[in-house]
Amino acid sequence: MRFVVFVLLALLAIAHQDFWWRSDHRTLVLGFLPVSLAYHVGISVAATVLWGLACAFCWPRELESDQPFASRRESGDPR
Amino acid sequence: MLLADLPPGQLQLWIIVVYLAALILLGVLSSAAFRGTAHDYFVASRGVGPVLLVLSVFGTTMTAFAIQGSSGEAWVAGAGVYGKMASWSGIVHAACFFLIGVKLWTLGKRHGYQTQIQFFRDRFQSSNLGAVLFPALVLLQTPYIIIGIIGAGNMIAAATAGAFPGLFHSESPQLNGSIPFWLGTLVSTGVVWLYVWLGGARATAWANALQTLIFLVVGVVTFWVIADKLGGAEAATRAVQQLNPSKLARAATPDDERLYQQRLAEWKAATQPAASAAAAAGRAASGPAVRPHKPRTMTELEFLSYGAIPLSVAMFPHLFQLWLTARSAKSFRLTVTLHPLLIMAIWAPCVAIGVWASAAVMDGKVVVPFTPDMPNANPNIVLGLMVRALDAPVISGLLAAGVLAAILGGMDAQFLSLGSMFTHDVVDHYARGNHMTDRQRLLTGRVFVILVVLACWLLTLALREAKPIFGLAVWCFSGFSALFPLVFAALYWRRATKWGAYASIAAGFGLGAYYYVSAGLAHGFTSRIEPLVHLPGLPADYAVVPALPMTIIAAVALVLVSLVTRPPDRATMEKFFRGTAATRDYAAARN
Repeated sequence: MRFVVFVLLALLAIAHQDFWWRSDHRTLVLGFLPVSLAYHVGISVAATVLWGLACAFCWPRELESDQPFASRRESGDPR
Repeated sequence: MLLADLPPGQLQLWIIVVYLAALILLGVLSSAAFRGTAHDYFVASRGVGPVLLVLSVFGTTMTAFAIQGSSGEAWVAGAGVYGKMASWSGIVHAACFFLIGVKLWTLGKRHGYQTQIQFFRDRFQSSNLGAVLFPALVLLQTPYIIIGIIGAGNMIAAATAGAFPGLFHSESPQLNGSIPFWLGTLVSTGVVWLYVWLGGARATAWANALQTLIFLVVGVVTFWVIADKLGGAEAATRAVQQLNPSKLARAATPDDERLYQQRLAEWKAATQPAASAAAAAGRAASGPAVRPHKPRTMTELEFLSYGAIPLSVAMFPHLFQLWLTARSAKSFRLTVTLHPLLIMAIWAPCVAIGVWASAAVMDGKVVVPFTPDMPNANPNIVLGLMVRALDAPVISGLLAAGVLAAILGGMDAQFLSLGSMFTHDVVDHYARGNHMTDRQRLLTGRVFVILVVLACWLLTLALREAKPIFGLAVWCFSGFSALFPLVFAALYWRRATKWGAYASIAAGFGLGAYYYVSAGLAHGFTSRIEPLVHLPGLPADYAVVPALPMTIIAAVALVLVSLVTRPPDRATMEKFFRGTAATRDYAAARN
């Protein structure tokens, strides 16, 4: 699943370059959104979904088990 | 007294006062939770949970540009601005939080780092690396802060115009009676200093959360009210489609150019009838009230290169400071996930407003009386003009508070991070050999925050009229991006060496300085320098943001020099890459 999520994120970065709509000012989504703007709003939503999947399936769990550093400096203990 | 009876500008002033009072109240409340230690002052005892983290990180990352600048840029360059800035940022910022932020937080917690320089000195076993990085980071951050203070002063002055005509006189008739620039900047930076003094990093996180909520609400409310005034969102977009269709796409076509010439002739006939052929023939002329904008094309290369700008967040000192406040690694999950959606929520309405402004007429009057090609054109006031045309003081006051929220939301963390850097990386490291007591660090940090605030305010007053400062701030983002390879390699590449780090900084900054000086010599340092550079071997109209070549050359220099210099020692490897099989193999091979 990790591999799939990272491939999808790479595809999202590639899909960001929507050259196919670069001159289209006629098509409006919902009657008011230029199609390229609507597409990039969709890219933002897709980024949220994919980074959510990355957090679920690719999260570096070894970092969560890291022991907290408890130095005297951090606890405010004067030397 | 009824609200309607208030002099112009006073209702807006009261909205700003209420907002600033709310910030002070948050500072007072956060001081009740303050534990009196430097650790609590600088990193909130690493106790910030997921919801507060997502709001505070977003509030810090978004500047006034997210509201004012996005509308202005969309008015100039069209809807493509969203793709090149907002959707790129959604993807890349989240990647930086995921790959850089979580890892730095873990190392910061494990080894007790409070600044980036502490980490880099330790990772590359080089005290002098801090002596190189410290001035570089301060130099990149200061113009960023000054731009924010200038924006705050200008916004307060514009919003309160007419409030005290007998008290404050201005050379500009539009600003007569407004809160003067020096006073507006003094009060706004003073409020930020006060709540940072009271609650440190916790106050910063709370204030940023409030400010994020304010400017998100303001953006959406402004969008709906303006859409309604223009006859609805569909009518507003149709008006742009008829007058400036290229604003709805990234590239202008020959048809767009022909339509522009036709509309321009119609506009001249309608607004300058004496000079038109129609008037000469005795016919009535009818044409657009708004002067059409000359179509512009954004090349695909330029659009692609903007992906390098958001890499800068990986090296923002103030963002590093906020990352350290997280309670756990898990706290980052919500930030990574929601950040692209929050960017969309603020950018999409503001970009739409900017696009509509290119053809906007309200109550029979043209809203923006200039076009992007005119010498007096100021894209940053386009949103303000749209709101002023609404003739709704409450919306105007809310917008002022929203823009101030965006500005001050970044400024507080910047003040705190600079105070922390002066304390830990200069005083503690050089004067006290990293042996300052907690109380000494707290006191020194607070004193340095005062000095940083004061120095930035005085610099703002001195540089207010100096145009290069605006262009310089744009280049600062490129400078932070050029440091991305350094932080990425420090975290993920065991073979990265201190000489590779020095080479990376020198190459990235050297190229940036070359670009800046070349552009300054070509266009004049007092002009606003276009933040685009040409690459050798490509046609003249193919340009990229300087961040892209600067980042690439910084990465190449880091890799090449690291490969030909002595690798880090075993202790460093164990400290930063412990537990990985590759590390053990590498250390064994080296020894």
